[in-house]
Amino acid sequence: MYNSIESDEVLIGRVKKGDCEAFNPLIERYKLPLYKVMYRMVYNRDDAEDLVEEAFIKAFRAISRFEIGKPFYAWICRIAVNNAINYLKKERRGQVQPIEFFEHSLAAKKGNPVEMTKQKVLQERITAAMAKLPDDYRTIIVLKVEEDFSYDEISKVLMIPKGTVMSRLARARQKLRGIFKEMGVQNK
Amino acid sequence: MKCDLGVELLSGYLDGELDKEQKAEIEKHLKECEVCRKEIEELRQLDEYVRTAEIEEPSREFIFNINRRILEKVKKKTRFRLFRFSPILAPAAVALLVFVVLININRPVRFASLDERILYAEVEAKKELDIEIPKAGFAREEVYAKGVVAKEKKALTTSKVPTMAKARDVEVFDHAKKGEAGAFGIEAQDEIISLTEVQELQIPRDRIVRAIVDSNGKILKVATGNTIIPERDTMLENRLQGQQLSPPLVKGRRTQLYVDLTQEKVTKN
Repeated sequence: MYNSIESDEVLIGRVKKGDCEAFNPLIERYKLPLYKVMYRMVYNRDDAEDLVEEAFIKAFRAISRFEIGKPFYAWICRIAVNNAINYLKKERRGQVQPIEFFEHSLAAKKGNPVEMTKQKVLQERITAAMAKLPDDYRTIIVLKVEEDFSYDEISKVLMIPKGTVMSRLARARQKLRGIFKEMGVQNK
Repeated sequence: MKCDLGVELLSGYLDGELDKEQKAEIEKHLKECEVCRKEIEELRQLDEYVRTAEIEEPSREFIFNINRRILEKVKKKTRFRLFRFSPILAPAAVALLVFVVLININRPVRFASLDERILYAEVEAKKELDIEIPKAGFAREEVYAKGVVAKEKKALTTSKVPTMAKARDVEVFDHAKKGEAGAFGIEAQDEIISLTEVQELQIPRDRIVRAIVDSNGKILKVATGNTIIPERDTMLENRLQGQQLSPPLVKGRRTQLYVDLTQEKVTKN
């Protein structure tokens, strides 16, 4: 059993030497942050969980290419995001999926203010708005706003020029703002 | 009122991604332009909203079992990948395997087993080897041991099969069937197992009985049946195991042999 306070570097060093068990604390450490990112990208719990699992397996298989000293989370996040982008392209064929779950949920709860606080309603609307964004816009917003990746990092993950990152992010924010307005999400 | 400043610059400013000059320019502009100040405030608010968006809780299965599941999968793949990631090791391993198979392909097994007799007979029948059939010592009546498989690269002979040996299923025994005893150069006495002894061994007359004897002539395994390849008969084996026949010799060397103990009456001319 590995001590959970061991650094990523130490653990990865052991994994590289063939010690599979040393991968366990890394999974434990990053599965939930990765789940969060994956969930924001696909808006489906089961898919997000599967994508996290796939990301760890791919990361393990590519661990020999990981350079010790670089941030492991950024690296595995890149693997996960690329995998999720491929998944979205394949499964959804680039189209925005109607997020029935949220729309249904909102409709059901609109007429029952006692059941939910205003804050809760707001959160759900925001989530629904995010889900309505095209996949590429949503991905770039998740990477920048949620994960606080730099433009350089986003550029590497999405394999697009840094200038494109900037313009796409600006357009994504504009689009999201428009959706917020449509859905009645008001500025404070 | 509309401002000419691009939304990209404001977005980049918000993210801290502008260079020093651009940043200074924007900051100067923001002091003068209320529209852009409002715009940038809205963008900040937007980011805040994004961070508060709800996330469905992961399943219990995910929380408690995903580590194990991932580790099981990667361990499994690691085993297969041992060779995949080694462009030298994999071909070398295959070459070694082929080499081992090739050098063993024509090599007789070291110990005769109960169902090897036919194979040996078929493969080795054409070769001529000196062989002596185990003998029981004192023969009273003519009951013959026959059918031999030798170990250690020794095999069946076509030339010295005993005169009275049965040749039910193997070419090698054809000569014997025809009674060409003289051609084999072995004294008939040598090939005879004592009837008394065989009777003492209680070998069934109506079935093929085969035994493996060790190089000292001791019975190791016994098979019986009515087919070409009889099955191991543990009951008879328990009775016969350890019984002593004469030590079998192949080319003068003691060796383990496959012996057919099936009783056959001698046809006296």
